[in-house]
Amino acid sequence: MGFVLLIFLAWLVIMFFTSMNKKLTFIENTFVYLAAMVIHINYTWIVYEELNMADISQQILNNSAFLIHRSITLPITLAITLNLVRTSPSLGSKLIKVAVSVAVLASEVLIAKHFEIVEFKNWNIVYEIIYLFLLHLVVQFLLKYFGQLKTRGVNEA
Amino acid sequence: MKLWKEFGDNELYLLLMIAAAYLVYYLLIRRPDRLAKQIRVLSLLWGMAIGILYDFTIGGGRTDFYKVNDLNNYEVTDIFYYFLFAPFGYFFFYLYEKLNISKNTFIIYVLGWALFGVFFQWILTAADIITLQKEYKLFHSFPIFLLTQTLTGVYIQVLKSKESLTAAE
Repeated sequence: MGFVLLIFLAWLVIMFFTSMNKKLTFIENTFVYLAAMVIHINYTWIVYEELNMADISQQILNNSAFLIHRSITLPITLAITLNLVRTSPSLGSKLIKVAVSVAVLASEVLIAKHFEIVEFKNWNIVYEIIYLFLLHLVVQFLLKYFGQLKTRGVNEA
Repeated sequence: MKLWKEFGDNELYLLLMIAAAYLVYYLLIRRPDRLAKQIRVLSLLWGMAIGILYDFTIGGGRTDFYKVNDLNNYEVTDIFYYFLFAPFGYFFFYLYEKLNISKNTFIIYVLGWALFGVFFQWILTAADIITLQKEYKLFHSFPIFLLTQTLTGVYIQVLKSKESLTAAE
C-alpha cells in the first residue's frame, strides 16, 4: 500500500509540474531538479545509511518507492515550489508556500514511516522538517546564484 | 563516514584523472566557442548528478553492484570520484554543439559516448577506483550508459530549441 501511495504521489507531482504555469525557465527548472536531487541523495545516504539514523526497507517494492520518492518526487516538488515562490509578492507569501511544500514532503515521509518503508532509529520527523526547510533555502540560494550567471553574461557582452 | 581506508594507488590515480579532466575543461572554456556560463554550470551539475544518481541507486543500497574506492561506506575520496563526472558532462554538451549533432548523427554520437563510458569504467575498474561485485559485469553498464546518453542528448536537443548554448558573454 505504501508503494502504491508513493507512486501515486510521484505521478501527481509530475502531472502538476507538467501542467503548471512555470515562472522559472527550462534551464532553471532543470538546475533546481538536479541540485535538489544531488543534495537529497547525499543527505539520505549520510544520515540514514552512514550515521545509521534510519533504516530503509530492503523489500523490493518498498525500496523502489523510497528511491522514487528520493530521486523524483522530492526534487520535482522543490521545482514546483520555487516556481510558485517566484510569483509571490511578499516574503510572507513565499514562506507560506515553502511551509506548505515542507508539510507535503514531511507527510510523505510519515506515509513512508507508517508503511515501514523507512524506520527512524535516532531520527525523528522534527529533524526531517528542519532539513526540508533548509533544503528549500539552500536550493533557492543556489538558484539565485545560477540566475545571476545569465545576467552577468549579458552585462559582460 | 571515513576519510579513506588507506591512501593507496587508487586514490592517487583518481586525483590524477581529476587533474587531467579539469585541465581539459579549463582549456576548453578558454576557447572562443565555449558554452554560455549557465550551460557550463548546468552541464557540470548534470555530469555529477548522473554519477551520484547511479552510484547511490545501483552502486549502493539494496543492489550494491559496485563499491567506490576501498569501502562500501561513504569515504571522503568518493566525493573526488563524483567530481570526476562533472567535466564529462561539459564535454558531452560541448561536443554535441561543436560537432553540430543532428538527427543523422545522433545515434553515432550517443553510441560513441556509451562505448566510451564502458571503456572509462574499465579504466576505473583496472585502477581499483571501483570494484564490481554481486555478479555485476562491465558490459551490464552498456545499456545504462546508452539510456543516460540518449536522455542527455534528447535534453540538449530540447534545450537548444529554447536557447543558444553558446550565448555571447
